[in-house]
Amino acid sequence: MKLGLLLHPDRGVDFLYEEARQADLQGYDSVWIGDHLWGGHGSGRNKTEGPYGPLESFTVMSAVAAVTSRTKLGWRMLNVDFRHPVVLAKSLTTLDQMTRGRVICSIGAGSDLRERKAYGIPVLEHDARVERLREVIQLFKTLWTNPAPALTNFKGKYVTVTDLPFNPKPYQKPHIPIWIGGESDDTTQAVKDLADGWVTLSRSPYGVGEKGLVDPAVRITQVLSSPDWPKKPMTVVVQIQMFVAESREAAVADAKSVLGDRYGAMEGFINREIVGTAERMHGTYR
Amino acid sequence: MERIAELEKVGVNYLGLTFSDLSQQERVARLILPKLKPNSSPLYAPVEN
Repeated sequence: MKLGLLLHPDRGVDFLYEEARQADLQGYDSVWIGDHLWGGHGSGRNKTEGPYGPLESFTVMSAVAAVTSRTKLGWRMLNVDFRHPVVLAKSLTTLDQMTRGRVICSIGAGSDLRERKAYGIPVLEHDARVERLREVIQLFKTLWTNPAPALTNFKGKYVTVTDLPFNPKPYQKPHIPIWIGGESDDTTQAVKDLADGWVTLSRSPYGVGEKGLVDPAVRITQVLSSPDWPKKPMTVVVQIQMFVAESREAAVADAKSVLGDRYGAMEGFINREIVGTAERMHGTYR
Repeated sequence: MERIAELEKVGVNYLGLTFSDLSQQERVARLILPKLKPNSSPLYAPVEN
């Protein structure tokens, strides 16, 4: 098991640098940042008016890379349609070269349609977004494994590249690891077909196809036990809250101070927070 | 470590964490990270230059 840490650019650049520096020294495998253009997504909180509203993630990640030396760098998650695909491939390659191979291309089809409408980014239906994601990843792999002087030609439904001399290749070989986020049937099929890792995003039961609500743990088991799950080693990521202290009482107090009424109230295997001492950590139930 | 073992049994080999302050981050690093087996589960490891 490895641990990654989501950083908080919204708490200010000094805090961001400090949590990144410490994570680098403490042994966390990776640090992650979000990739959004506004702050109204997800939680419903509108951070667009604060002093630390959403910052552009590649700019932030370049600064994080400069204050760290070991930890890998990932996004939760890169939105595939915020940048032209070849520019995104170039940005990832540049950062991978500058950090000597610390980049994870953790990427998703995108889900916040209001954000796209507000910024004038074309909005596609879910299936089309995943189809576009598949194309972009196939393009990434083509570019990253066929550098100039070879010319890349790629013609898809959403992405076309003509006689492109892409150079340099990423630092990592055969290419930057690609982790895809999301749980839908289309997305998990893209994980199986194209990715090196799967980032599960939902911590609540959700609908998949016509099957009704599915518990995240059940979904993970479904996907990992499917006959076409890749035989190669794959990274499987879940988001979880962890509260650890020298005594269970201190860990519980810590969890209650952060979660309030939500402490112990979240049901389901994945949703339970981890609370306890290093020796005995449990999922909590009310 | 029981809960982490449960997650590994399901097939999870990577946890994405977030903390409300630096002290929680430090405690997990000090109390948990040393106990994790680095190769307890397969991870994609690209070959570097």
